Amino acid sequence: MSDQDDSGGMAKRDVVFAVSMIAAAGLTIWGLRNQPKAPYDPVGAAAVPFWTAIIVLALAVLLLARVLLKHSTRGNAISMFTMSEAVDDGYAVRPWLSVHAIVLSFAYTAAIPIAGFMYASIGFMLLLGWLLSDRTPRAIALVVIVALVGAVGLDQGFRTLLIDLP
Amino acid sequence: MDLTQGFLHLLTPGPFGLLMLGTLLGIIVGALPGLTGGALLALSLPFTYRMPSVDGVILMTAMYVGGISGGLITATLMRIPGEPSAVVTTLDGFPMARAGQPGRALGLGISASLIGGALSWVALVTLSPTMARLALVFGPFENFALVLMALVLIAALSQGSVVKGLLSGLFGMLVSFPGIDETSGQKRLTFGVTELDGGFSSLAVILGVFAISQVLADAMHANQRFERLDANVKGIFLSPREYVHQAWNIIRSAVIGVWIGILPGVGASISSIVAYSTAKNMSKTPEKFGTGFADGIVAAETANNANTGGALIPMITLGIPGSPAASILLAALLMHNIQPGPTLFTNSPEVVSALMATHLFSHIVMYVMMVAGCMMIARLMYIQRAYILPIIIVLCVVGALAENGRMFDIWTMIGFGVIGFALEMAAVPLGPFVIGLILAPLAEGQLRAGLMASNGSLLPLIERPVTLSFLLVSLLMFVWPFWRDRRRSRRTAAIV
Repeated sequence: MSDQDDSGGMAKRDVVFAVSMIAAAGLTIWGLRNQPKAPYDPVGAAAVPFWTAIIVLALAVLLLARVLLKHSTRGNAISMFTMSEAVDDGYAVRPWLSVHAIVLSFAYTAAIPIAGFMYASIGFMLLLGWLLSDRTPRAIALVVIVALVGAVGLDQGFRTLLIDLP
Repeated sequence: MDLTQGFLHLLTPGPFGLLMLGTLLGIIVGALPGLTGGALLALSLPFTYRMPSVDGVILMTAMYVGGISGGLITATLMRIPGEPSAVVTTLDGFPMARAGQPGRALGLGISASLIGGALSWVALVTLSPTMARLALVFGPFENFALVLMALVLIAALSQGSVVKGLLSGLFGMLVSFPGIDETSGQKRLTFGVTELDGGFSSLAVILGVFAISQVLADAMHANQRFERLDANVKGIFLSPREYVHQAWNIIRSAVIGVWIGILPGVGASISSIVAYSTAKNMSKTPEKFGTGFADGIVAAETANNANTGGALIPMITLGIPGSPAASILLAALLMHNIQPGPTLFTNSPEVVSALMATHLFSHIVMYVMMVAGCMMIARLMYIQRAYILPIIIVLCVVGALAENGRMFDIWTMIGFGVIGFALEMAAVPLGPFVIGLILAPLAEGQLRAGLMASNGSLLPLIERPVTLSFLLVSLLMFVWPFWRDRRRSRRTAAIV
């Protein structure tokens, strides 16, 4: 990917980020519209969230303006996670795996109250493990073992620790 | 506070076992790319509920130290930093290892980590009581200004866009607002959702942002495979001459690490970058940096471990974390109903002494474990992500459930995991988000208490010298990156 493509992609992400922040600030201000005043408190419960939202709004507009005027917005951002830039190349990064992991995580959460923690966890670990593995017979066998042992073990272990699992 | 009590407590079997376990887990997770020490701390948080608070502090402090240290193993041997703070170590560690001296490269890093950590412990023990005494005279306005400065500092120094950093911190604050307002007892921002009456669970949000988003980011690298490691640890023990040769570099880097650690919200990554740059700028042979030069490894590793002690100082004395990872330690203390701040030294001296003793002991344990087992730990890299990542998500689910047993917390966690992942993809720093989330209730409470005392007047914010200086620093830190960018672009335009 060329630098130009990269900066173009980053500009789009900055726009999405700025718009999301404007939405979050707007939602906060809207949510505070009927907040009653506290009789003994000079500012009330709405003041700090309201002014925080106003500052978010102002900064998001500033960010948007900087993107549109093609000013740099990135700097040398350091990831809180491992820096993928520093990791060896030579393999294909597969963003769709992250998307699948997100969908599966939501499905897993929805399945817990229906199927119970243990069975939902077995299904989730099997599916996500299968998706992430290289699908060799050995890898799939290990995924199955990890899912069964992991889910049953965690379920029993945490119930012993008196954590109330569905 | 009696430090001896802390050391004696640590020497009993249970606490010592927790110290060993925490350090080992921290080193392993620190070494593995994708999972950071912060994620481990977040993941462990719910499981410390049932522990006595002192034991919880021991376990988590040991994990914190181990997590920062473990990153150097894979950074040195494979050019894969397990922790962001070990990125700078790759610059000289990997070339030295590839040039046939992996043992020496590891030895330099591990020894520097031990000494950096020990020096920062001296700072922790000597500076904390003084700082706590000073903080006792702070009123609500001073505390509010300090929190504000922490947010601006972390945004300005997180090596990205200051606007994005600030937005991240303020977004963290917005997330903390829904629920019952503690001062007035009124509901706010609940949008008619009953589950929101109690607000978002901080633990669920932290688990989402620190652990789930990391798993999601790591999933796309699932097919990454690592070359078989062919290295030995010959030369891992340094000669006394080598220590003497590096003495000035170590002291300078430790001071940088401690100082940056004390700055609210700024983590170990910045410490190692600043220490490395300073060592290079002051070196007679700067051209050797980046080619496998010992001074580079020592500067980076001394500073990032020195950061740990520094970051704990504002956390225990002011209740303001010195790094994103320290903010999870802060959350752990709050969950055990321990309020960090100047009164911690009088109200819970046993917690302070256990934390300080653990900080030193876990560095010693870390040294022994890493010297003895670094090759074994490096081989854990070969475990495929397909087996690890699903287990982490399941553990997070249990962690989120353990607090209140509410399904809503799991939805919150997954939702904020996706938000954290999206922020990460947009190069928005997540550190300010977590700091904003944790510090917002403190900032709001202090501001409103101050306003009640001043009958709604904000003038004390500029009338008091301490608050005024905090506000001026915040303003400078906010304006400085814009001024710097402007100067740079003018200079570039002039050259063109």
